[in-house]
Amino acid sequence: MNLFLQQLINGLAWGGIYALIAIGYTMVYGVMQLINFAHGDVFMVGAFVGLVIAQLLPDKTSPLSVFLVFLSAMFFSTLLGILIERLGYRSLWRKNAPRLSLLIVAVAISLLLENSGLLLFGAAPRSFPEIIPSKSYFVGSIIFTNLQLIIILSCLLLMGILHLIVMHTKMGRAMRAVAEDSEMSALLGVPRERVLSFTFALGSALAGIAGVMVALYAPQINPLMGLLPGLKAFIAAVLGGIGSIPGAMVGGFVLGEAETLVSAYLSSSYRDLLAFLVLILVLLLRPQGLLGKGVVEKL
Amino acid sequence: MLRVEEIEVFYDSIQALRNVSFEVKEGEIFALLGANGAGKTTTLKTISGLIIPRRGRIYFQEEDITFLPIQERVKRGISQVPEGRRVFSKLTVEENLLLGGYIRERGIKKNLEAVFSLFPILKERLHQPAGTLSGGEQQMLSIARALMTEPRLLLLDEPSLGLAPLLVRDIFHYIKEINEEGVTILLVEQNAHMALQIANRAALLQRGEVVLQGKAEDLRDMESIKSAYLGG
Amino acid sequence: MNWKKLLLLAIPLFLWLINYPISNPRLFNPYALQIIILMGVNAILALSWDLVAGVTGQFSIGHAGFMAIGAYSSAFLTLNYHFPFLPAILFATLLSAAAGFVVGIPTLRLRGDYLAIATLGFGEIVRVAILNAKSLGAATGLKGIPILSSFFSVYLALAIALWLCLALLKSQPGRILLAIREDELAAQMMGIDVVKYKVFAFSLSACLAGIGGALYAHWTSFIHPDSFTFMKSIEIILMGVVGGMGTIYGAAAGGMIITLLPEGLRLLLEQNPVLSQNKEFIRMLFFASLLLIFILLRPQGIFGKKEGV
Repeated sequence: MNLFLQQLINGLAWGGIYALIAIGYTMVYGVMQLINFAHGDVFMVGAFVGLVIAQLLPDKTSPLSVFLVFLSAMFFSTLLGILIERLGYRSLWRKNAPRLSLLIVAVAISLLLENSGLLLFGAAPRSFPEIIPSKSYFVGSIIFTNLQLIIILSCLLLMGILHLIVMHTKMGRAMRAVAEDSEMSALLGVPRERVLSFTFALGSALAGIAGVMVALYAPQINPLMGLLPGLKAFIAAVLGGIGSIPGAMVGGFVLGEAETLVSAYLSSSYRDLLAFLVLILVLLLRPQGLLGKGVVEKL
Repeated sequence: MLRVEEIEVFYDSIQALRNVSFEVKEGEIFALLGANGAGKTTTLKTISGLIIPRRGRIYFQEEDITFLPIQERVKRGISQVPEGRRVFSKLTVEENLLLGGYIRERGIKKNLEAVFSLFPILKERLHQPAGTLSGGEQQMLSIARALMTEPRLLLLDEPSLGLAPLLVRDIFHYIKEINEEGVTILLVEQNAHMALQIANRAALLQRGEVVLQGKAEDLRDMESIKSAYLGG
Repeated sequence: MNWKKLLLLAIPLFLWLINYPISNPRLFNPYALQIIILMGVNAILALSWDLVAGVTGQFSIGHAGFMAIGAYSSAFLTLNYHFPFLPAILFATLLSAAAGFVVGIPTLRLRGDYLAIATLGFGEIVRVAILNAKSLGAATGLKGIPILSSFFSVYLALAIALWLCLALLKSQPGRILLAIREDELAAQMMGIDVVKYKVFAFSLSACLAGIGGALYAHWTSFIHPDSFTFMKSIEIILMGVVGGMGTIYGAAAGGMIITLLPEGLRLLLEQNPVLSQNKEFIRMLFFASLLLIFILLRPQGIFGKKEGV
C-alpha cells in the first residue's frame, strides 16, 4: 500500500507536466482544429532557454535566478509559439486550406526546431544545473522531494490562472466563442487572428514552463526531448477529450499516474507503449475522451 | 445606404448569384424573398463578408466594402443574424451578449440595458448557458447579440425558421420595433407572407437572379407572387 | 496481342537484361547502384502512401510501421528458416496487408486528424514492440540478413506497383476511392460502402509498404527499430507531397527525388569537416524546409496539376 502511494506521488509531478503541455494542444485544437505537432518542440525550446539563462546567471540558486529562468523560458517559448502561428499556419488557415496541409506544416516545423536544436547543441544530453537544491521529506515511509512539491503546486497555480483567463477575460471569452463557432464569432467582429495568436501564446507559455520543470526533474535535456513528452501530452489531451481544457488537465494526470504505475509494477519498457495503447483504445472506444461531450467527426 | 451592384458568386464552378443588384435605403425594411436555394443566404454572406464575389461591387454608405474584412464591416455597422440562430451554447447568455459588444469600447452597459428592455426574458436567463434556452429565446438572444454590435444595418436570415406561429408573430413584431429605433433591416425570408407585411420594399430571387423588385404592397398584390409564395 | 501488352512484357525482360551489368561492381559504380536501389524502394513507399493519402484522402503518419512489419517479417524468415526470397516477400506482404486491415478498422469510426493520430500510434506501437522482441533482435537490430534484393527485383516490384496503382485508378473501385477523397459524405449518400473501400485502400497501401520494407531489409542486410521511427514516416510523406499527392507517377518520382537530393547534399557536406559531422541534422533541416516550401507555395507538388490536395 505504501509503495502504491509512493508511486502515485511520483506520478503526480509527471501528470502535472503532461497536463501543462496538453493544455496547449487542446486549446489550439479548439480554435483551429489543428494538431500542432510543433508544440512538443516549443516545450524543448523552453528547457534550452532555461539552460542558457541558468548558465549565464552568477548565483544560480537564488530565488531571483529561479524566477528569471522560468520567466525567460516562458517569454521565449511564447514568442516562438506566436511566430509558428504567424509564419506557418496563418496563410493556410486564411486560405481555408485542407487540414492535411496544416498537419504537414506542423510536422515540418517540428523537424526544423528539432534539427536546429541538434545543430546548435548536439545530440548528447546536457545536464541541467541544480537551481533548486534538492530536499527530501518523509511522511511515514513515503518520500517526496521539494521539487515534486514545487512542480505540482505550480501546475495547480498555473491551471488556476489559466482558468481565470479563459473564463473571466474578454480574450478568454473570445477564445471559447471561436472554438465553438468560428464563423459566428467573425460575424460579431471578433478578431479571429488575434485570438489564434493569443491561444498559441498562452499554450506556448505553459509549455515553456513545463520544459524547465522537466529539465529540473529529469535533470538533463536534449533537442529531441520534446518528441515523446509532446506526443504523450497530446495523447493526454485526446484522453481527456480534445478541445476541453479541464479534459487536458485530467488526461495529463491520469496518463502520468498510469505510466508511473506501469513502470513500477510491470516494466519500464512498457511505459512508452502504454501511452499509445491508451490512444488507440480511446480512439476506438470513446473518441470524444473522458470529459468531451462534443461529437467527434464520425462517419 | 447599401448598394449591391451586379454581384456574381461561384461555389467552385457552380454559379450561385448572377448579376444581383438592389439597393436598401436608410431606415427601411427590405425583404429578400425566394425559394430554397435561390441565393438569399449567399447574398447576405456576401454583404457581411463571409463570401467575396467574383464580380460586382458592394457599397455601404457610399463606401466600397466589397473586399473589406468582416470585422471592418461590423465596425461600420453591418451585423448579420445568421440562419439557425447560432448562439454559443456553452457560453452564458451574458457572455453571448458581451461577445456581441466585443468591438465596442464604450457603451456596453447602455446597450445591455437597451436589449433587456426589448427582450426582458434575457435578463432573467442571464447566467444560464445559451444552449439551455428555448428556440424562441435563442432567436431573441441571437438578435440581441447582433444589436450589441450597434448596427446601422441588420441582416436577418430566416428569423422565423423553426419557430411556432405565435413566436413568429412575436419575432416579426420585434423586428418592426428595432426598425423603428432607426436600424435599417435587410430581411431574408421564405415566409413571404409575413415578410411583406412588415417590409417597405422587397426583391425576389430565383436561381441566383433578381426577377422582381419593388414596393412591398405592389409585390403583395402580384398574382405570380401570390400563387408561388403566398399560398393563394 | 497488341503492342502495348508486348511492351508490358518487355519491361521485365529489359530489367533482367541490364541487371547483370549494373550489379557488377567492375562495370557499374556500386555507390551509384546503392542509390538507384534505394530510389526504387522509396518510390514504392511513396506510392504506397499516395494510395492512402493522395488517392483516398486519408492521412497516415505511421507508414514506417507497415514498412517495419514487411522488413522484419521477411528478414525473420530468410534469416532463421532460410526461406527463398519470393515466399518471404509474399508472407511479408500478407502480414503487412493484415496490419493495414487492422489499422483500417479505426476508419470505421475515425476521420481526419483522429485517423492520423491513430496511424501514428500504430507506427510507434510496432516500433516499441520490435524494440522489446528478443527474437527480432530487440535494440541490437537484425544483422546478417541475406542480400537478396537486386536491381531487377526492386524495379520489377516498382513496375508492378505502378501498373497496379494506375490500373486501380482507371477501375470502378479506384474511382470510388477518388470520390471518397472528394466528398466522403456524398459518397456515402450514393450508397457506397465507404468503410469497406477505405479498409481496402489501407490494406493495399500496407502491402506496398511491406514489399518496400522487405526489399529494403534484403538490400541493406541490417535493420534496426530506429530505421522505422516517426521520422521515416515523415520522409515518406515528404516524398508523396513533393511528387504531388494523388498523382501516382508523381509520387514515385518524388520518392526518387527525395532519395537523390540528400545524396548530392551529402557529397557537398562531406567536403567540410564541421558540416560533415552534422550532416544528418542538416539533411533533416533540408527535408523540413522543402516540406514547408512545398506545402505553403506549391501544395500540388512538382507533378500535380490540381490546386490543393
